[in-house]
Amino acid sequence: MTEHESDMHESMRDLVAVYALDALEESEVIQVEDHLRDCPRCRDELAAYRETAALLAYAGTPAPQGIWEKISGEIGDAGTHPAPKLSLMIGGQKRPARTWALRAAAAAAVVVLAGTGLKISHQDNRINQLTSALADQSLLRQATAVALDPAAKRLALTSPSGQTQATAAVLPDGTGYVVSEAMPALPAGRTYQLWSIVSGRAISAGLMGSHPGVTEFRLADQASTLAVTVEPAGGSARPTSEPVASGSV
Amino acid sequence: MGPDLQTLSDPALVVAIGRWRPDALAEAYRRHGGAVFSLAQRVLGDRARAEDVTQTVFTSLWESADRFDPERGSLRVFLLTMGHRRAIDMIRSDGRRRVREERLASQAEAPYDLEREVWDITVADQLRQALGGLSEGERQAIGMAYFGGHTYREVAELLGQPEGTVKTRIRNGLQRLRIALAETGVEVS
Repeated sequence: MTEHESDMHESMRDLVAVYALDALEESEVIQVEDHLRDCPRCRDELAAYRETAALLAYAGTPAPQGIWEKISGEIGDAGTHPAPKLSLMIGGQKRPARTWALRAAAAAAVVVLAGTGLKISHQDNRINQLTSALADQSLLRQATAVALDPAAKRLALTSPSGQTQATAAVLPDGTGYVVSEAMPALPAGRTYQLWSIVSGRAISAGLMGSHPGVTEFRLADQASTLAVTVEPAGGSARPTSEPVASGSV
Repeated sequence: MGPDLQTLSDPALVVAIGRWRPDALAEAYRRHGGAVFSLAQRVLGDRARAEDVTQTVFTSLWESADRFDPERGSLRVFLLTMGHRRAIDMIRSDGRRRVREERLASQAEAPYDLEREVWDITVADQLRQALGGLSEGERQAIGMAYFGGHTYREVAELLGQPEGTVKTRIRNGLQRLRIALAETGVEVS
């Protein structure tokens, strides 16, 4: 780092502290936010400053009841809640993006619980859950990024009876992620398998396992449909059963 | 999710909020609503507007529970950060300019006393001790910015000091506070 760059960084670090108190001039906010995106060290500092500021704000006062009544009135009936915007889902369904949020938060919650030394009764199972939750979480991040990419195509995979089983997002290069919404767990020895359908031919696009969460896959060029079948564990070269879900690309 | 929301960790509570459970939001409000409201009231000096801020903070937690990332800090810090910014936005909005100028004038007469601001809080002792390690200038700059809602430029103007000095004091003061509070074991729940 040259002396000049180091001075620049120093002055940016001052601004990050000021930003944590929301005390920047409006014209400087964007500059600092840009810097924060690129600088993990400053992001850590910002988190620490905010925590310190929160301690200054610490209040033992109870939450006023009157405000809760207003909040409660405003959120209304949970069932009629509109679908959140950041969604993989296509229409018609209730509360799509929550699945994403939920899984990320669930993964985090599992880790938090594990960190408290909470008694673990079925340890193996628990560790499996934890591991897959963690794997899910990083997959989920990538999947969320793809889902939000304006270039991505989003599709719903529906069962023959029309129920949404999973949703998928695919980038123009064929990289895609599928998230199970309602796919039941399969017995041992079976797996869900994804297929790209190109001119009536099925090309394997990857395995989803017996209890699918988030799966990365690759859609073949020119694929018209993405389909899921149930196959023996390890997968099949060609589908051996009718699709349990499919969606056109 | 069991019925006993009160025993859930904050991140687990947010998961339940993500499932549109109003009782989970109520529990989050019970835990953190008081802090959000009292910070907003300190910044705004107005109960009705502080109530609006608090309401907005919790309805947006309801709408976008996924914005909370437990890896980036606690729920309380997340909510306080949101509430503080909201309160500051209110102060700085165009319609408030006149009021703000009045505030500036009255601030100049009675400089901010951060110690007094935090006097009545639960962790007051440790905070007072930690604040005691700050220079007068650092305490003033942080208090005027955070509770007074002034930009660092306004703080510089009010105190008749160079802007660079004010920025550096804010940063040094926050760093020192953080170290002192970590030593006394105070943490955001």
